[in-house]
Amino acid sequence: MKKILIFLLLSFALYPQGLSKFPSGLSKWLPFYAGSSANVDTLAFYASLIDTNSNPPFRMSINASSVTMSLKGTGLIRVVWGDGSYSDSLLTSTAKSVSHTYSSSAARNVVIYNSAKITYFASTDGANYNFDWAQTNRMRLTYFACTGSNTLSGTLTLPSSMTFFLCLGSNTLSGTLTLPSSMTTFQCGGSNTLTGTLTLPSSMTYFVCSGSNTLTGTLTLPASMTYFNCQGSNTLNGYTTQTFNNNMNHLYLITTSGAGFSAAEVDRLIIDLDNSAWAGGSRTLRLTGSAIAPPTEASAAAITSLETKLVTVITN
Amino acid sequence: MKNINLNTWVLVYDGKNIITIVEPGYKTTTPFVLKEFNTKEEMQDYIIENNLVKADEQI
Repeated sequence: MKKILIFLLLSFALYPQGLSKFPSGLSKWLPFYAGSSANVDTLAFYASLIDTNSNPPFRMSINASSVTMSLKGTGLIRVVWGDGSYSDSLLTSTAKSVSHTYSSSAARNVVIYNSAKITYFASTDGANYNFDWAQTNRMRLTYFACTGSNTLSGTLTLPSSMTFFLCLGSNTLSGTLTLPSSMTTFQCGGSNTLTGTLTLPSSMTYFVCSGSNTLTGTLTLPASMTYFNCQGSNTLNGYTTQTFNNNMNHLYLITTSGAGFSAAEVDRLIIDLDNSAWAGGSRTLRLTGSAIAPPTEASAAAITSLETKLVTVITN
Repeated sequence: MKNINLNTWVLVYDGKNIITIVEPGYKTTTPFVLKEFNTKEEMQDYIIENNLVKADEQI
């Protein structure tokens, strides 16, 4: 009895939050945690580490001397850095910087446990990320941004909740490009081979797709769009008329095969774009490629007008 | 305003930031500084020597 009393006194001294809700099944390996909401969350996190079948970790290779990821989410995650160390972070709706410095620059396998808690992933540190995009379904992403010399591969399937996707580098993403209805920004650089009919959601403001893509469809931009850049072996063709956003900044279209755009369509497009005031730096209008006709005198005045709006115009 | 259609590499910049780069063979009109080069390498050297900044990820 005396031993029990000493144990209880020591326990309350060390863990004043209380001893309730402690899951007995984890007592063999878990630290002796108390029952505050934060620690219950911690216990749930450790439990998730055990249940890696229903909550598989996110695995990637990173080649860098240091890594900094900006993350948002709804709970605890653990990043195992591949050099024997790890970091635990409680993610919330406020971006949290999760970083690590290695003793040297080298390729290492990095694992994020409890990745289903991540909704926002951003890295602009230039570390070379390498992973199969399919693994991102282990997160609950609405926002993904990763710059640097990345080598993402696999089929690019965007979650329906995603609003922002930006990935630069030597990516080799493939598949049919379907943009979720709430997406505002899509930028994918590298040697991608995306296919499909290009349908831009009404809320979209920014679209850039480079590589050997074979996107098809007619050219129609949402009223909100100010930046459009489509390159590759796309066969976008045909244009009637539309009103462009008054803050138009960039329209860059290279089309080298397919029916493309006639001179009349190119003239109409340039004239419609001149009806926008344009805004921002580096204002550029490019309509080139063997499947796009040169403009005629019909759009000469519009081109001159665009120049007065500080727009650089490039045509065949 | 400048308007060219030559077989040269064309660098368009506003004195510091690069607006765009145009490969040989295309027609360019721009209100900005426009400089022509015979090769891409010459243009790249010029960018480095004059510490010009890429203003756009797509350049």
